Amino acid sequence: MNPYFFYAFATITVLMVVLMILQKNPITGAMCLIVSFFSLAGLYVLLEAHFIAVLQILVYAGAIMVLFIFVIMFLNLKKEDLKTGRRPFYQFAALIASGALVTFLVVQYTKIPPVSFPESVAGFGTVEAIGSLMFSKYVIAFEVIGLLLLVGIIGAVLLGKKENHD
Amino acid sequence: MDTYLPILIMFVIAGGFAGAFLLLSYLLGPKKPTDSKLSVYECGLNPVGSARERFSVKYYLVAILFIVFDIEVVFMYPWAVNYKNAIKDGHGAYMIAVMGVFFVMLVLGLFYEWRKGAMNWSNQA
Amino acid sequence: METNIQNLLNILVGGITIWILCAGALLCLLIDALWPRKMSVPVYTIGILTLIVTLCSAWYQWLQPDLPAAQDLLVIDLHTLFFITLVVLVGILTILNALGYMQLHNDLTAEFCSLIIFSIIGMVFFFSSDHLLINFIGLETMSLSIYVLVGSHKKNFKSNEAAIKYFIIGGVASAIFLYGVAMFYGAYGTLKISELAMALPTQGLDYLPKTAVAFILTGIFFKLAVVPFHFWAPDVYEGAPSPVTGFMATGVKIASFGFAIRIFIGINVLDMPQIQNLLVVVVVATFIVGNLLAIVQDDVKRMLAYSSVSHAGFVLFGMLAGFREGRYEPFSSHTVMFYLLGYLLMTLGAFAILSLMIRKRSEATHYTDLEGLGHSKPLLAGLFTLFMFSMVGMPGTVGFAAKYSVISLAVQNGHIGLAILAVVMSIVSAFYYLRPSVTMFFKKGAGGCPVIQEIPFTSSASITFCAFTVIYLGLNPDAFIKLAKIAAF
Repeated sequence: MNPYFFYAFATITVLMVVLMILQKNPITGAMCLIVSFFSLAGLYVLLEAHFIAVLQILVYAGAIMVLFIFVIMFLNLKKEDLKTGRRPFYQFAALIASGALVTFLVVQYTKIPPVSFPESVAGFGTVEAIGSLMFSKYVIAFEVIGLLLLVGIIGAVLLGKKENHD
Repeated sequence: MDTYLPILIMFVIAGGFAGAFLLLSYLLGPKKPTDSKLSVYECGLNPVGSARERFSVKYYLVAILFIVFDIEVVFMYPWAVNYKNAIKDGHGAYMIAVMGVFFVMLVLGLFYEWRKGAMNWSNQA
Repeated sequence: METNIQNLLNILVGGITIWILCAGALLCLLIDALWPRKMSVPVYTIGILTLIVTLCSAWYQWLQPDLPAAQDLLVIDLHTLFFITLVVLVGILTILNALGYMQLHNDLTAEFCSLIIFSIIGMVFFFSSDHLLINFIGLETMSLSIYVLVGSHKKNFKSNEAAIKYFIIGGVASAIFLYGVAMFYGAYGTLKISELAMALPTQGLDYLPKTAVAFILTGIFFKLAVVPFHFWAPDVYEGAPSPVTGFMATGVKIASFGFAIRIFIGINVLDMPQIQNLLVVVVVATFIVGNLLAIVQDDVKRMLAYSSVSHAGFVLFGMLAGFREGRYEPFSSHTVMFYLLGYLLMTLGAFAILSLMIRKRSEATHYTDLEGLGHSKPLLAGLFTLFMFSMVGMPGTVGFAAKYSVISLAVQNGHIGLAILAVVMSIVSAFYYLRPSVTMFFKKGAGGCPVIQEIPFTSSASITFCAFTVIYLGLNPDAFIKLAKIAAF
């Protein structure tokens, strides 16, 4: 696969996430996040994980983004609600800490000996390939995820529903 | 790489159409602004307050529950794709059982939500 | 495909203990959904029965001469069964506490019971799998249930705040954990712990696995609330309803240590010198910060939060104590396991009593709320003092036996400095552990009204059980240490 595509998508992803953090307007930030989700999907396509790429767009850029926008609209923060109480010391400390972490990781990654992964077999990453693994070898994981989603439903109902003792 | 070319072309054409028509209407459309044309049109009423109104939290519960079921459907899709092959191999019953357990949990969640009145719109306000 | 069905059958039979739990949780939920708000007491009964049946099933499997063959995704060995026993015990005691608590608060929600069992299921998958994917799904199931439980006091502002804080911190912790897992996969192309163990070179380990281990450790440290990652603990522990706080302080930590033992002894990462140094730093920091900050708290729940921080440090110290000249001595995790058993009994006993503290329909756990309790309810105050004594490590209680086994192992393996620090910090801890008792017995209540009116039956059952076992295990620890030794890695 052409590495230029990787660098293009990776740059867009990182750039958009940084832009999202720097945005003053939350809606604009959410839009930046959508773009980064899309280019992340592009990265998945480069890895031949087509199903994951489609899910990334459907679930993240589609459904989860809607929740983000919802929350922004619920809170509906006006400019005067946003306190501008900046704490330069904390910002400085955070900058140094994250810079150190990034430097550390970059140095680590350059020291990694090249790992040879087996060439992906034909049909890798398709819906069918994922399904046949998910329902045979990883069937336990599949069922436990069902349980996890059930807990999600209970949590949403328990915390989200208004009490009405009638 | 060739396999992705149609997708790329589709994206380009879709984006091109959207951009082209915006540009065309901007360039070709007649521009004769007057005061009343420039004012915000709100069904004949004068707009009052901000367009960004705070709205009820009950929409959010529906949205969250939608996402949970959305993700459950995502898991069903590979199952549906693989089911045909499984029948061919004579393992239809296994697949039905595996999805059955998953489905029972989903339906139990739906039933719970129903009985708890999470979907009652009017009572909740 | 034929092997799939065979595989599934093996898992179904071998993991019967876990499936009982799942069935019980779903049954609780179904009954609650069929008759909303009417069947709370039966739901709790079914929940407790499920847990008891699970306990029996785990014991039955323990006594089997040959355990089911090791599966990829679900490993049923003695280690798993021991930790299942611990977390199920936590579950039973928590449900008993919660029943009493909710009756006093007049707010009996049946979801509480199913959420507790769901989170126990998550814990079991967290520490009983050989596959990091399942470990992670288990971790998430456990955490998600607990986020909801923490916020289940919807009208209480502190509970909401605690839930949000715990959710965000927990999300970050999970992400860091997952990043470490991804690094392992990137380096070795497998997520199975046993395969990773073989893939890792024994000498001259390269950087990626070390970084991966550091990330996974960080994720677990957040859950354990040891010192650099402890800052959320006091707020969350204070805001959560008291039985949930007890559940978090014991269940989450036990499950995390169960996983930590499995992965770190399983792939021998503890033999990496850097990781050892990391552990030493964390243990020393946890001892000092946890114990000193506990002194200045003026709320019992906040004090117990810092106490749980320092206990987590003690358990980590127990893992560190297994080293002898840079190598991990096999089978020395039994001290950790016995310590966790003792810790869960005394902590849940203390939280059972705290759950009864109620004034004007809200929790009253400030030190001033304890004033005069020694005169109005001398037995209860006495038992609370017993649990506190056990946490200090008074001889004759399980706390002493647990601390003794850890410290003696450390001295045997030559960790003299840390052992001395542990002893000193145990003495320091007497200051803050005995302060509630002093308040109970020697200060007259200014408010006048007794905080505790009547004690529900379930609460007294769990308090009695904890008190009895704290003393019994304190006097005869050997049998249980032997049991832990069998299950130890």
